Amino acid sequence: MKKTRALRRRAVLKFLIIMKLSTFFIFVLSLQAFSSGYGQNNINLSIKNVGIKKAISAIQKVSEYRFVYNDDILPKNKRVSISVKEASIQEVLNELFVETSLTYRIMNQKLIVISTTQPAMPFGVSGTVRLKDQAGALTTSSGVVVRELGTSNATTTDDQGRFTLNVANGNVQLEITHVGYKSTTVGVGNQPTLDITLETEVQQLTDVVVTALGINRQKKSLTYSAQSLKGTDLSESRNVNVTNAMSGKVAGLTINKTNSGPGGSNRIIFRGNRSIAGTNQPLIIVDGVRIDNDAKAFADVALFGGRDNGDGISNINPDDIDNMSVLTGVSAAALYGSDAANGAIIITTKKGRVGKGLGVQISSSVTTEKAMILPKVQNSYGQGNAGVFVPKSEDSWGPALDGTAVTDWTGKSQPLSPQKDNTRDFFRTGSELVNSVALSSGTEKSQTYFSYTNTLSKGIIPNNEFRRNNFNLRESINLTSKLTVDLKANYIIEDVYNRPVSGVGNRAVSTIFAMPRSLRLDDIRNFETLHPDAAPTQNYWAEQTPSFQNPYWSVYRNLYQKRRNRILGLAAIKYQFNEHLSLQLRSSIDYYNDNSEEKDYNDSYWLSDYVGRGNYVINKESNRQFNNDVLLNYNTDLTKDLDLNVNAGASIEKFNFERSTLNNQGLNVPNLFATANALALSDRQDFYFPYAPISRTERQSVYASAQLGFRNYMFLDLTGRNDWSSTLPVNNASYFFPSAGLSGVISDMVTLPEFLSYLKLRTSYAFVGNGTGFNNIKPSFVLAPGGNGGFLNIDRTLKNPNLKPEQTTSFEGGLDFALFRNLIGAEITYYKTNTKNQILTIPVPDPSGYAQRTINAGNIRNSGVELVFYAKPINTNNFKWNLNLTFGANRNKVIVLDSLSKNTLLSSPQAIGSIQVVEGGKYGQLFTASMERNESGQIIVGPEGLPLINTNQEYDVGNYNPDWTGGVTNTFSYKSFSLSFLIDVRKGGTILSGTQLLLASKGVSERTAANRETGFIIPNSVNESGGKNEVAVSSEKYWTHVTQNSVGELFAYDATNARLREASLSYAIPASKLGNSFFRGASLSLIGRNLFFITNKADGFDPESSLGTGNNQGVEYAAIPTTRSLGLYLKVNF
Amino acid sequence: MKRPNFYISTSIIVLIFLATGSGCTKNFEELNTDPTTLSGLTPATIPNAFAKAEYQGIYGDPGIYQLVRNLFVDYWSQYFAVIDPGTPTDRFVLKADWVFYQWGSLYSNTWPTLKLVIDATEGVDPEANAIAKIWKAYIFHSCTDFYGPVPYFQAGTGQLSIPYDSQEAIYDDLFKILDSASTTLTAADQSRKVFGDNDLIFHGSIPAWTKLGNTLRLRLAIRISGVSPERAKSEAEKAVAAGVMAATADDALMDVGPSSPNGLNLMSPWGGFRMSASMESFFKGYNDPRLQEYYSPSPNDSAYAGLRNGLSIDQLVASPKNNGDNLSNVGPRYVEGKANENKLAVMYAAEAFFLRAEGALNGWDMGGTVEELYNEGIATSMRQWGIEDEAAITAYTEGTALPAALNDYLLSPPVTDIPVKFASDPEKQREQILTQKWLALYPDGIEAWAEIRRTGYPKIYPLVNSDNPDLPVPEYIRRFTYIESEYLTNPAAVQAAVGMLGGPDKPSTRVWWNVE
Repeated sequence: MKKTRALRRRAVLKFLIIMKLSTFFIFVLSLQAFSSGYGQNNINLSIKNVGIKKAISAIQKVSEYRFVYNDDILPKNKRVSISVKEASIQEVLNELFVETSLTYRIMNQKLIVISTTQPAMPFGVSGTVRLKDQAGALTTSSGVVVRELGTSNATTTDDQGRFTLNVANGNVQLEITHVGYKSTTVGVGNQPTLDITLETEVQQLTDVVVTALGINRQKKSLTYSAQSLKGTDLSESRNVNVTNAMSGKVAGLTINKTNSGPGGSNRIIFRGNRSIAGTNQPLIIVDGVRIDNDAKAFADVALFGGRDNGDGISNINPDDIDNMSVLTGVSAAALYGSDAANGAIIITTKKGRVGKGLGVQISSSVTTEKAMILPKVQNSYGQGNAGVFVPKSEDSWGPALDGTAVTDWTGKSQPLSPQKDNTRDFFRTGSELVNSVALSSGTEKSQTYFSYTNTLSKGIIPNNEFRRNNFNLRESINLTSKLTVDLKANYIIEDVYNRPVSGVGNRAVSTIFAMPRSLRLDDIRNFETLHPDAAPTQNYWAEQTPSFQNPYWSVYRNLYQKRRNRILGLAAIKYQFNEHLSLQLRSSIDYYNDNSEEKDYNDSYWLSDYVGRGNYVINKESNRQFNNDVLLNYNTDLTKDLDLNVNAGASIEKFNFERSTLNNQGLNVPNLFATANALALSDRQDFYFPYAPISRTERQSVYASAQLGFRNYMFLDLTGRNDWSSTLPVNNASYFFPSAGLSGVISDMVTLPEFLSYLKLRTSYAFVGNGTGFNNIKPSFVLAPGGNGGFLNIDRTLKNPNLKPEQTTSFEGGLDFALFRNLIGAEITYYKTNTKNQILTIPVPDPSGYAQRTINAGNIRNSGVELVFYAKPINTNNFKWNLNLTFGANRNKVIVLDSLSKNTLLSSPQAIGSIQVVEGGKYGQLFTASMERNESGQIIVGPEGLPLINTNQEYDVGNYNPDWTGGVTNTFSYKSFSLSFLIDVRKGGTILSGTQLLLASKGVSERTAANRETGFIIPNSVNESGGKNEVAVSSEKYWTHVTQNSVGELFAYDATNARLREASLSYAIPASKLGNSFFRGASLSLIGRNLFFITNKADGFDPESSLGTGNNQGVEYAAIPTTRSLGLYLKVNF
Repeated sequence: MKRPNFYISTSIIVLIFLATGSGCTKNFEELNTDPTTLSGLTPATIPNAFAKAEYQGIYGDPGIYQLVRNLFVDYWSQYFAVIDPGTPTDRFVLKADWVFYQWGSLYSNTWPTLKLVIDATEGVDPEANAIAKIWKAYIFHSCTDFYGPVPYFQAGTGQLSIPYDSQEAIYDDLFKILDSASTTLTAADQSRKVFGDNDLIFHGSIPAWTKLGNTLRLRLAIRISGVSPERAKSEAEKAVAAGVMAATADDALMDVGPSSPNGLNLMSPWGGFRMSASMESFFKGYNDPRLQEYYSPSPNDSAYAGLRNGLSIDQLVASPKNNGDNLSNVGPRYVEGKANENKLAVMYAAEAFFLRAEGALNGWDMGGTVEELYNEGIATSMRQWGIEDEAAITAYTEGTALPAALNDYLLSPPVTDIPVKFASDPEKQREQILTQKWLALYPDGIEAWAEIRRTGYPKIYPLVNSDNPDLPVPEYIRRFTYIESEYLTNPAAVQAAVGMLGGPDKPSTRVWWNVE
């Protein structure tokens, strides 16, 4: 103990020396700036009898200089008159400050710092400064500036937050400032020591934003919309997948969740869908490098379902994120060229910070989860058909549940009684435990950040578990003032146990939803029968069926386990030649492999495709992505009004993917899971994965951007990128993608009314692309197992050897403003994109010899509005109310599709409906089978009183895209307490519910209970000859008829919903209570997610559910219920 | 301290950069090629392509087997009846999301694959070419029999609109193909094994393929015997003269295996269908020993029981008699465990005898009398199913018993009144030939459905209910309607085809050879 403390003290001492050196260094730099700016005589100014403040703003208008000063130091009553021609800034300032105690310093970036001249310093004052983060936790930091107000007499704190300063007398005020925190002023008085707390600064208009290629830019200078989220915005709600935490916080974002349990993938869409066959999801960039976000097999599954492999962004530990830039628009992402059409999410992870000493943060959260919503079911009629109890029936068309004793499927005599909670009780209480430790230390030479996070999550489906271990090491080395090295190693181990298959394949959920209403869960729990001489067999109430099983059998006897090992590595060196020029070389790797194992026990019904006793499948995938890039940055002042910032770079990105699958296709000895026990050992990739098991692509790029700033209030952006992609035909492989943008800070150009603190206009235009996949330009014949020596499978797609990348042109314009000294503000963006040369496959007549062909065609337009609004309605010392609002509305139109084909499907035909792109319509239109109607809309029925059905899927039930999405976050803080909640709204859009169709077919859903005994005449119906229909049908007949014919129009729901997405109540232990203890800060939060629906037009399911992350959205089937979670989050710093 | 580390790390970064950062697009074409796939047919893979065309051409793959055969023609031929209420095709509903599988399977899979083989062997390997063309005749005759006019001459040419051809023109060309193939194969080295074991039917045997080609020609001739009797007679006599299948050793059966199993075997446990009542009535009445080969006793009472076709949803659940456990599923060789060994039926020698019997009844020279050929057809079928006891076979062919009345849900009367024993009345003889052929064709529903349409024999039970307004009970389904995607992607051609059809595009419209 003692030894440790001694060492620590020495480290502090050493650190202080370094701090002083660096302060000196900055000083020297600023002197250089001073000298370089000296001697230009071009200021023309004529002012008469004005206050100093007005004079300063007049100088700002006629020169390129900005002033930094504290209002309070300006003499209030002094009036000045200056009239100069072709004067230097020094001459003007000398004249301005004559007969005042003010002095000035001209800094780099043409900043002029005004301070007062230094008096003598006889009075010593000392104290501690604590920093309060957004959650309310207190930390300390070195480098906090403590200044005697109105003077340049200042010092900085040490890493314990302590300072001492000699001031003029006890009457002075101290001004305490620190980047990212609100400055504060305190009187010295006669206190020997001061205890000062700085609050986090919210909504700084001078925010720095990480833009494309990782270039940091002042938000003010951007010509396009860019939203940024802080790490805490993403980690506070303790979502395992960081994209869940983005919902409602980003304007223009639509998220659909695969609902595949913990760690499942999400589909993220900005500004609508534009690509038919390609991806519509944004690029994911982590620390400047693209990571693979493909959810692989799961991307394009249809109703038949598939297994979610987990997307890339869900592997990132939210606790490691320092900040996230969300570039929803094309212009912002234009520097990414051929993959920039869908915007980008740019994540910057934490680094060690200079001057923190050894900072340790330990956090722990525990949340519990329960099904938030379940289908509404009837509890009046039991198992059976036609009103008769049938013990082996899978339906609930049986007799009224009146307690009559019957011999049921178990062989026991039990009363027929409603089992109201037999569905709910199947789902267990899930849990999520996240423990993390983060260490940060840094000297001027090197900074280290290390974190370890352990996530353990148990899903609400029994036996479903998710574990993740994230290790993150970041080392930044400043070797000299010119040479820096940045190294990162991120290792992620993720284990998924029994993640359920989606769609029809999810036998556990579909069976538990659809099972007869009179079945007892206690009977079902007894899911297998043991036999002395044979493998256990399944207990199920109906005979063998490929669609349903005992749900407990599904979760305990159809096992799946997957491990992902992922390494994200980054190494970069940067050389700063001089203040104008720097060069960065960077190499990175994203490597991950997925190894999965599937064990299906003997007597699993759905394995009827395999002859044999259960099955065993192992699957190994490896994904490697290498990036190398070089980036040259040059900035200079062209004239005193014009500065130029140029970035030029080149990169090579390589991607490799391989998979191998061993599918036993049945077992010789039941329930012995080994490849050697295969009934037939062969590789049927075609059966499981309808795409290439190998993929390798390469892209080479050169790019440049130039930003021209005029007087720091008008900016012109030009970017250009040329890509050479290996996926395109050699003749078309080279593509150039330009963009241009212009922005002006009006409030800096002209004097605006007092209340308008900030006003900026911006506009930009960009042209970018969306590439195609591997091996997509020539036919691909596959030798597959079959026959006696293999089958040759031909390519059923007529490939296009002249393929071009998809091209998106984008225009956007926007307005940012702030009112009343930033108490209220908004950023508004209008955009319009047109995507042409769509790479898509369209059906061709089968007799051509092909099923489809690949073409470049189409023109899809998306236009819309994004709005970010913030306000601080109450902002007193003790009580604060912050409000943030996001809104995004997108309008889509398919202007042209193809000369031959006026519509195309977004997936293979689904029983419940088809998802189409129709020329003249909108992307993602849903069409279903329908009841025949006459001209006046009456339903036409046949002789039995049942509706006639048009089984062609021609009936338009709506579009899967929402009309708009929005979110409102309110944060109230009172002293150390903070209450925050987020309401997330999605308006419009349609979803087809396969679950509801299933439940109606089985007589389970609430709506099937009506008219059971009496039958009914279909309202507003006519018979075929046009007369009034007077034939009654039974409820069972009607629902069986319409579900058998998949009349999807009856199962289409408005996806409008609003929910309390996040809520948290936090308490940060006040600094006064911590005193001088070992702890620097601690906070405790009560957190909740998806607490309740404020409104939900879908019936008993979450309309944001989806079957996968592909473009075939708008259909739900047996999704695991969305969960409501509640938890505690403890964070301790020391 | 830090300096050496720094230099090492810097050097490593620079080295990685240089090693991986060669800016060159020359290798893009190679990089963008999947080394595990081929970009076209190679000489070495011709046999693999032929194998695929064989298996795909008979709709062998489980999914395709179900959606082409099991869910449609196997019910319409009344080999099976539906117990799954979710299957309206047994009530003549042409379910839109099922019907297109046959079309896609044949036109954008089987045929382009086979066409590659034909094009690659044309003028290079006459025997392989002839065998591939016999297979072309096999796959296309059933396709045109499904619809009437279909794309034929220009199918598979990659054009974006493909015209349909009249069934007459297609049959004419198929006869020419079969004639030429027979000539080529007869002149060839008979010991050669074309395609080797990749020929899943005959392992490349030229004599066997010759017989199959000739028998197919005979089948086609009989098919057009109503609409084009002269051409039929001439083609049939040429076929028989050239040598048709004549013993169970000639049976054309297709090898199956783990990755290309017998689809029917995999469907048997699904609980979708059971023996039809028509089958039950004939088999029980005739005391037919093939019953236990074709079907299994019901699990509940070990008796054989069938089900009427076209029961409504209500009827299916109304009685325990309609429960799968009280009915007969497919026979022992069609169980799941034998999917990898139970060969797929392409054509049986028994059929050749029945074809010849019918030809002889028409007065053609078929190398035997009607009765001889009829009895030999029955005997060959019996032998094929393992019934070797000649006395038992004779007892059967001499049998005078009539089809039985049933104790089914509807207490159905006997399906008809025709005995096995060869009758004296020619029309009765025709009914007997076609009844016995129907019994022998099992489980090939495609051929059975065509022959019931053509002849009205055997007399099977009418549907209990039809859910197709175009086919009210007791109408029989005459064809598949053209699929929706053709109207979308090939509209002019399909509309022209409807003109050639000679009636509306409805399931009640008869195809060219189906004269009344």
